[in-house]
Parts: sequence; C-alpha cells; structure tokens
Amino acid sequence: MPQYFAIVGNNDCPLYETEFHGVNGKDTMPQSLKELNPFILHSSLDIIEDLQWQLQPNNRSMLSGQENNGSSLLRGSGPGGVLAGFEAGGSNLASGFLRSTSASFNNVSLGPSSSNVNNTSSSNAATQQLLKNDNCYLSRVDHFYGHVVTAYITYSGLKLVMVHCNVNGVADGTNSNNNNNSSNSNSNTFNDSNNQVMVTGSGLVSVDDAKCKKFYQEVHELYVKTLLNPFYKLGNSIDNPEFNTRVHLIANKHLRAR
Amino acid sequence: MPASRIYDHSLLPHGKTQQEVSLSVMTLLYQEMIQRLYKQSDSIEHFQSKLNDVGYRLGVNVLELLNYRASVPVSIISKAKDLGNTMSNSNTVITNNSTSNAPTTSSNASTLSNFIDEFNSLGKDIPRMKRRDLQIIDILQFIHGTVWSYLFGHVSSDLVKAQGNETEYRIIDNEPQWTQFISGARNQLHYESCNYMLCGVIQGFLKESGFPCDVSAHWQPSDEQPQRIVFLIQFHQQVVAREQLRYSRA
Amino acid sequence: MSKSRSSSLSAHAAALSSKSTANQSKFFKTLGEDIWKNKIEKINAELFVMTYGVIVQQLCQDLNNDYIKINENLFSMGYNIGVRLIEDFLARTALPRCPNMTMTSEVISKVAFKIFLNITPQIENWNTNRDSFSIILTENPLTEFVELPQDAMKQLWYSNIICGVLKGALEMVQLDCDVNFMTDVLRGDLTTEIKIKLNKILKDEIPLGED
Repeated sequence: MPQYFAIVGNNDCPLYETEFHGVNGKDTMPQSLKELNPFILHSSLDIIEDLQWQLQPNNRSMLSGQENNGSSLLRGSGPGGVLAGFEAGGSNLASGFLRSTSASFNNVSLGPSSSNVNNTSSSNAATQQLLKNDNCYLSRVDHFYGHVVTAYITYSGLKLVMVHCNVNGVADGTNSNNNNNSSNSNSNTFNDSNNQVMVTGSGLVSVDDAKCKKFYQEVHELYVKTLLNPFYKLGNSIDNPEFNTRVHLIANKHLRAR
Repeated sequence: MPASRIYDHSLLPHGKTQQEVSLSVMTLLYQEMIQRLYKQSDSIEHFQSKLNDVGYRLGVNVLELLNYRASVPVSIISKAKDLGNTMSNSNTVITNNSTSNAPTTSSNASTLSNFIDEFNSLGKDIPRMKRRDLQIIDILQFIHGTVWSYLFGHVSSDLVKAQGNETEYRIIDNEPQWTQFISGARNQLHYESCNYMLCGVIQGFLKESGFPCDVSAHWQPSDEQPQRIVFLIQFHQQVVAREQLRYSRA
Repeated sequence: MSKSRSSSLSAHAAALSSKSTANQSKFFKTLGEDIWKNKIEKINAELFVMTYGVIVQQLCQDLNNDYIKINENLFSMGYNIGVRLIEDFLARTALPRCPNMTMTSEVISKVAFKIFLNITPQIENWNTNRDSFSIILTENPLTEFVELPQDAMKQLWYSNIICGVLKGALEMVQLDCDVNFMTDVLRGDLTTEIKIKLNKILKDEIPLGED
C-alpha cells in the first residue's frame, strides 16, 4: 500500500511532504487520494496535539489503574478522554469521540484469546511492549475510511505524520466507523473467536508498529542532522535532495512488503 | 557537485577523533561575536535580544541532539567509543611514521568506513526513544543536568523554584564560563547582557519543546562567587495551566 | 615549576633550530601534545562548532548572503582573535621567535593548531624560496555538520576565520603574510587548503616573547 508522509512544524506548516509507492508501480496512489491526503493528515493534528501532552499516549485503552510502571507521575492523570474533554472546551465532543476510536486501536487482549492471534510479524503483547512508555512514536492516531494515520513527535515538537492509504477499494463504512472494537483492534491480526476476519483492504490498512516506529526514528535522525547544519533555517521547508533520497531509502527498508 | 556529507555523519560524538577544543579559542570567539553584535545594536535591549537569538538556535540544536543521543542504548555507545578510540589511535600511528606504512592507512580507512556503516543510522537500533519531557520539573532538570554538563562539563550550580509563584524558576551558575573573561563588562547591566546567549539557549530549548517562557540574566554576586549569574525563567501562563490540568495530583 | 620547565623547553627549541628538520618536527609534536594534555582548559568541540555555525548564519542574514562580504567579515573577526590569541600562545608555549618559515610552519601545525583546535594539519606545497607553503586541513572541526547552500558553493569560504586568526597572529610576531583559502571540501574540493605566503618581516617593533 502507498503512504503519504509529511513533517509538520510548529504553526502547522509542512516542512516536507512526500509519497511512497511500490517499486514496480503496483502501489500507486489514485489522484483522488493524493488530493485528499493533506486533509486527512491535517484533520488528525488536533488529536496528535492532545496525545502530545498525555503521559502515556500509547496506553489509550488500558490506562485505568492496572498499569503503574512504578511511576508516580501516572497517578491522578486519569483516562485521556476526561482530560481531553476538560481542556478542549468547544471541541470536547470531537476529541472525545476520536479518543474512543483511537483507543480501540490498541485494545489488545492479553488473555487466552491472544493465542489465537494469527502469525503476523508481531504479536499483540510484543506490540504493547514495544509501545509502552514511548511518547515519541504514537502509533495509530486516527483513521478515515480505512486509511490509517500514524504519528511521531520529535523533541522540538515536530510532528511526523503518515497516512497509510487504503487503495484496495473503499473501506466498509460499518467496519471502520462504528467502534467495533474487536474487529478494529490491531488490524493486522485475526480474531477467530469473534469470527470477524480482518483482511487488509476490507477494513483498516494494516500497520506494523515495529517497522513503522523504526521508519520514524530513522527519519527523526535525519532531521536532527538537517537541523545541525547552520544553513538550515528553523521552520523552513527541507529541500535538500539528499534528505529526500534518504527518506525514501528508509521507507523502502521498513515500509515495503518484501 | 559534491555529495551531501551531513547525512553520512554519525550523531554519536565518537566518530571523530577530536571532541574538544581549547576554552580560550571559544571565549575569544564569543567576545568577538559580542563586540560585533554590540556595535550593531542601538540599545542594550536590542543587544540582548540579538544575543538571545544566537543562543536560541543553539538551544534547539541541543534539544534535539542531546535527547536523541540519550535514546541510544549504552551497548551501542560503548561499541562506538571503542571503535572511535581505535580510529584515533591509528591516526596517531599514521602521523608518527607517515612515510612508509600504507597498510596502517588502509586499515584506518576501513575502521572509519566501518564506523560510518555501523553508526550512521542509529534510529533502527533504538528499542525505545527517550521520553519527551512533559512536565516543567523534568525538562528543567534535563537542562540543569544534561544540557549544562554538555555545555560546560558540570551541572548548573542550582535549580530553584520561586516561592509563591508557580511560573518562576531559577537556574544558577556561580562561574559563568563564557563571560568570565569579558573585559569590556564594566557595569552590571553590561555584564548581565553578555550572558543573554545562554538565556537564548534556555529559551530555545524550552519554547521549542512546548514550554514558552521568557528568560533573563541577573547578576547576584556573593562573597565567594563574584560572577554568580541567576537565569530567571518565567513560564507563560498556558504552561502552568496545562500542567495543573493534566498532571496535578488529586 | 611550569615556568622553569617551559624556559628549559624554549632553550631546547632554540638549540633545535640548528638541528635536522626531522628532530625539530618531532620536538614540536611532543611539545604540542604535552601542552594540549596538561595546560589547556578544554571545552566541547561541538559547542564551539555550533556557535561558529550560528555566527556564520547571522552574518549571512545581516549581509544578505553577500558571500564576498561574509568572507571579509569572518576574516576580520579572525584577525581580531589572532592578535589576542598569540599572547595566549606565547604565554603557554614560551617558544622563541622562529628563525625561518620552515620552523614557523612546524609551530603552526604541530603546536598552534594542536593546542587550540586539537588537530595537526599537514604542511605541503613549499615554493622554491621557501617563503610560501600550504596547510592541509585533513580534518576541520569547524565544518562538522555543515553543508553549503548551492549559491554559496562558489564564493563562501566557510572557515575563513582561520585565515584571519593566522594573519593576525603572524603579524604580531612580525611576519607580514598573505593567508587565504585555496580549496575547501565544503565546496566539493578534494582537500581543504590554506596558503600562507610571507611578504616581509616587520622590523619596527619590539620583539615579542623576550624581556
């Protein structure tokens, strides 16, 4: 599947944007989607900004008490939804809704049913371990008709955002929009017990967190190197062709199926 | 047209043989910069803000660089250190008898390219990035500890919260390194102003990580520390409000 | 204690001036390394590099990317630094006046560059009169992380401050020289080369380093 990737600076202006396609042209992006991507990305910025200040942005569904990590910071933070409601005021409703949808992404079960997990590159438990305590990589933050948005925040607040496009037909609206937790949970796995099979393309696009995270971390590293060049002006777009080349190399390494 | 070099560098400091320069060169450069900016400024405030601007960018660089480095696992750092040492040792060998040993040269070159291959991209080997600091006290401690150590080789003299004022914090430096040899600093205001580059570093670091604030330098000498400078950090209200809303303990 | 040690060193240096170049070279190398190790207060090179980077960036902004003017400004900043740095240098090394440019070149590369920037550039390209030579910066700490923008490639000498420093410092020891960059890897050249050419030895001033 193709992806649309952008680096968004403070003030929401994009510093860099690009698309990733497959090598032999089979993963091309339809024109209609090309035009839509910036909007999908933009509409997820509010969610990202909320997650930016959450103590455990990746504990979106299982925060309530059982996760302690021995960190006193956690106490009193409460579920993200409540806080989001407090702060957002007018946009209360929206972020509350989005919170619950994005919460469903990580609603992983650790019980016996996890033994049913299909043989994918990472099991739920591993994914959970991978994301635990990370607040740079935010995993899936939003979705839109089967297109999934993932995000990553750097130390200086740059938002690295990617729309993982669903090009195999329009997603089944019921599946992706009605909070059907069990089917939405980790779209790259099966959940046999519910007999609701998630197939890539019919619902949400699958995202491999381990690989996606590495992609972001490497691009972050490229950005730090860009920043250290005194001729790069803070907040300007990154037009170094070598940066572009390397981003695509990294994408090929981590995001293309082999 | 030359190939881009900046992306071939490792972000780890051990890829190069040389990690330090003389303090006198740095202070002379600093003084020269200050004089140039001073001449260009039409008021002391103007001078302060120009110097602050210089520091600001430095603060942003340091913010990304030090946090990224802090994410790299110890095992990789020590491996890089070893290889870095091998490189600088073999460099010495080369300069010692530069006439007759092609083998050493080539082995050195291969060590260097090993280094580039291995440590050019750290991102793929980081299991978990260092967390972004979300709370005032965490980020100030990072500045007081990690940033100060990076800049000056030691932690700052003190980090204090103002009593009865939620927005104010102080970072204290008893012996400010960059300005200790400034001869032109005849009065308090001038001396304070020369320290505004560091104000900029602190401000750039905090503001870009989502903690907008104002930072000013104040000369508060004591008997033992005649050059003691207090950096006053005043967070904007929104920072304190966010903190109370999100993280205050019930 | 360190004083008596340095004066014995300087006596040694004077004696050396008559000896073979190989010995001389070795002596200065040891001297430079010894001073760097024991007598120099050091700071993080990256901080220095980044500070210099911001200074160049500001000059670009102030001078509207007029790279010729930026070169001049960097040179004159360097000159001012050089005339002060030489005092520091003489105080730390206690070296006497160099009798010829060969020795001057050795001192620049093995002592001066070593104790201030912790690098030891190569000396090459002597002319037949032996009053002009090149400093090859095999590593240049100033350019770490740096990539020139396209429009600066042909004009900007990013590290021109070094030429200014050399010019200023040499002038203070009565050597009137031309110092400039010939090549720079930042511009896509294979080496980074600074050329020093002696114009004349200034006579009308009191010799430094002796009292």
